[in-house]
Amino acid sequence: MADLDRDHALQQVQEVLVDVLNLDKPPAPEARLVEDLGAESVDVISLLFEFEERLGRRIPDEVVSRLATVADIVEQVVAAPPVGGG
Amino acid sequence: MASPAPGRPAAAATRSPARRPRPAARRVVITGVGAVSALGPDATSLWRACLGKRTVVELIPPEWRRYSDLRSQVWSPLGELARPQSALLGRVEGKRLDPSGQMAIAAAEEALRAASLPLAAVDEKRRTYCVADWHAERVGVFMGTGAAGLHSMLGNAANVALSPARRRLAEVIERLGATAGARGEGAARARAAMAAELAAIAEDLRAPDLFNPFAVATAMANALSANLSIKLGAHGPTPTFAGACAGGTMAIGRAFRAIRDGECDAALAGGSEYLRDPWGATFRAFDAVGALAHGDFAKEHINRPFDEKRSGFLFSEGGCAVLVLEELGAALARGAPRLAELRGFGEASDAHDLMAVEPSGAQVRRAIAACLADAGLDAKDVGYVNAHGTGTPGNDGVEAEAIAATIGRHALVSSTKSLLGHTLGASGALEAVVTALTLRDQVVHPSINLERPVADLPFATGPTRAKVDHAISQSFAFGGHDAVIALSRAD
Repeated sequence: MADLDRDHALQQVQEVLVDVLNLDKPPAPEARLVEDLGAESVDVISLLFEFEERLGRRIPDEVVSRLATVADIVEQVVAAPPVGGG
Repeated sequence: MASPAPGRPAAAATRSPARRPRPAARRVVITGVGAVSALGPDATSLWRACLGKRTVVELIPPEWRRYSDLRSQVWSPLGELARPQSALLGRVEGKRLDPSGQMAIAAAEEALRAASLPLAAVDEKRRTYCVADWHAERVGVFMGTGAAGLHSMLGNAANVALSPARRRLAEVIERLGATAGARGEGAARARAAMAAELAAIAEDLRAPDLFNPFAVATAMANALSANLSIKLGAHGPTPTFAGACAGGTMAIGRAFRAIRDGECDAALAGGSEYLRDPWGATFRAFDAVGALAHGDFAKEHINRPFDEKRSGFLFSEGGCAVLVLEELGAALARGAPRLAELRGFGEASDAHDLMAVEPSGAQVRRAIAACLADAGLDAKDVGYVNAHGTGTPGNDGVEAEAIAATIGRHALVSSTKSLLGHTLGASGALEAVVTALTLRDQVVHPSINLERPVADLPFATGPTRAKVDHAISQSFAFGGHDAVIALSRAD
């Protein structure tokens, strides 16, 4: 998959968050996943799966615990290498 | 196993235990049904198809023939219906469910709507609900299946097993492409041909591209009942019965008893199954033991329950049905629609063979007799038998003889599987829906492709108007599980 620009990544991350967390509107970049958006651990698993499936980006396990806000996710999605075939 | 108590006569172990006195008789009614099947996305389309002799028979996916030599070449596909939309499911929530679980949610939603039981949201974000008219601790969920979750487990196992080889092949193919022109035209052609061959091998390593992190949840057969209980906040008993082809009938029978005996007041009961995989491996498993319909008939005529030229069952991709069961008094109090009364349940076990019905049919007859006794019905009361009627050489002859011996030759008989094919653990539930609608509408659906019946029974070969006050629906499974339910016209 081609490089993701930050605006496009934000829009896609917001779409995934709306679908997984059943939100009424796209969350702001500064919104906090747990405190503001109500994400639970099972939601995080769904989010990671959706990013991998829809965006072709796998966020490494070691950074997942540091994902506090929507902007953090965008940062990691942009930085993550595209998922290989197979 | 514990030894018998000292002094107890050995014969005591074989005597039937004394029956517990039953509390004041509670009656159980079916107040709503929902179904997903190859014949349509809801119970109405299923029933209309049955009355209209509509069947869905297609050639198997051509790629399955690349993996196996298969005797049977036909199946009954569900297509998009395997992943039905439901207002109870979020856009991505379905990925946490096997198709068998997703169909169960959709069928339950339809059944509750048909029963005039509106849902109130409990948690908007998690899309959980409750039935306002029900006391959650008195609601059970009873589902049956053969192998719910098998599809998901096979897919995730393939992802794990095949992904390294797929990745390496992709790398080799890429390298071959990059150096294709390096050593002259002949070598380039050879490399291109090799790349094409490797690509074909990679194509055969079919597997989902991603490992689903919900692999455990999607593979759990008990997720069928668990998901429904979570969605609807049902805190009563929520078992899932792995009863193969009798799973749905077992589940409905057990739910009936739980309500009748006072363990709960309402229940969702049914069965669900989904059996497609990328390679036709599940299909092959049944084909390998000669269980599937095959032969020279045109595909629409190859599935022939109770016909002398039957050759096996029509493999269905899957299906699901859910029934809403309620205690009669509660149903009357809320003015619920009543499709039929659930009247009795009988079971027996062949204790004979994992894949063949016991040829004397003794336990099949016992199960039918036990059901009639449980229902307080005489054989002459039964006006319709929704037969197991798989179309396998082993089942149909034994079943026909058992019907003649226990019910007699007066009740109309038909096989829903002649139209729908065999949905294994869902079949008993789909057939319970059909039987309930038979009682409601007083019309029996036909068996198709029945030209020379194996027995002298009044098989319905066209939609048949009849006065049917009582009916039975029976299922006999791999494993020897025999289960029969009795239904009566709602009074």
